[in-house]
Amino acid sequence: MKSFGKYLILLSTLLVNRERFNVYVKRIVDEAILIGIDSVFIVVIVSTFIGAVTAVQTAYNLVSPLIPLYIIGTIVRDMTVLELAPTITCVVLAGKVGSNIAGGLGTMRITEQVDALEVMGINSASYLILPKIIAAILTFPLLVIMAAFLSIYGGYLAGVLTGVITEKEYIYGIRYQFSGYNITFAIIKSLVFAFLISSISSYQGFFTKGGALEVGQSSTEAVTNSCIAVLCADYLLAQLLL
Amino acid sequence: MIEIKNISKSFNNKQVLLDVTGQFVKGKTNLIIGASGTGKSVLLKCIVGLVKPDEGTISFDGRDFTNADSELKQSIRREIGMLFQGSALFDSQTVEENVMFPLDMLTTMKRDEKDGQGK
Repeated sequence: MKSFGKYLILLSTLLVNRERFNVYVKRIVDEAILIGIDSVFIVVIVSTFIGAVTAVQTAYNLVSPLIPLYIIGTIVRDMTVLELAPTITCVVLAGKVGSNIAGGLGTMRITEQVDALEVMGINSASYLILPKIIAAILTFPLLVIMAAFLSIYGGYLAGVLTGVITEKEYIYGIRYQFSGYNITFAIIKSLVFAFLISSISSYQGFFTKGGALEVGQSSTEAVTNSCIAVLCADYLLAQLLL
Repeated sequence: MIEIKNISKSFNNKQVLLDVTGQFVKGKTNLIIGASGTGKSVLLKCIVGLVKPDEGTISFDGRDFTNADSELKQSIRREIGMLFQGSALFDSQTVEENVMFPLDMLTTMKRDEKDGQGK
């Protein structure tokens, strides 16, 4: 409870005594490159393979001749949009981005760079953390949308190239009974996950005490806590919004 | 003038500073001398507000720094320059960017003016 209170106090300090708007614009762009663009490669690899595996495993389990093959496309689409693209992508990003944020801030803390900012009269939390949170909120939904496209395309490639489903059936399947709300739900999830991952990792890094060993521990805790928060939020959002 | 009155600070029941009082007058060079672990860094960190003292007050030109709100603290800190033991340079930035950093953050100078100052 003490840690949660400290986390809330940290969040409240992000919005008081802020620096000039221009300062944040540059920092947000830098962070968006670090958090978003540098994560494109891992997201492409993970989402394409997840889509491919989902298609192959769904086809493997569909043994009844009464079930049409286009259902494979429908299952890949719904699993991807509702769960795999937002949640798995964000769990992967919790590992990549979360450790990066906590490690960076932790190192700044133990080398007194955060103290130097404070002594200069700069709100160090706002200067360092707010751009990371905003950049994550801007880039995560884009990464999730890209992951959804690639996952469905991965399923298409695996299904069509291995001959378990025809191109026509797959395309029909992914268009069958499509609900646009699922996309909205996925984007809402990605926004919430972006906030949780960036803020929790920042919290862990910002309050690092000790030396190099503790920076490593902070990074590990950031990833662990971010993953737990993402999974809890995933369940809550599913209960609330579906 | 920086004035410290009856500053005390302890960490985990270990008393580091006890009832320290002093004045740092503008234009004078002051030294804080002591053996390792006697609290020199803690005293400096208390003065610049990085560590909150358990007791006592610190004031800058009569402005109470210890109990100041975050806005007043921020404005007082902008008058302070401090060189840290470990240099505390932003190692992700170049030397020039480190020198320019306070100008970027704390002034509204134009690019050319900042470049001139930085160089």
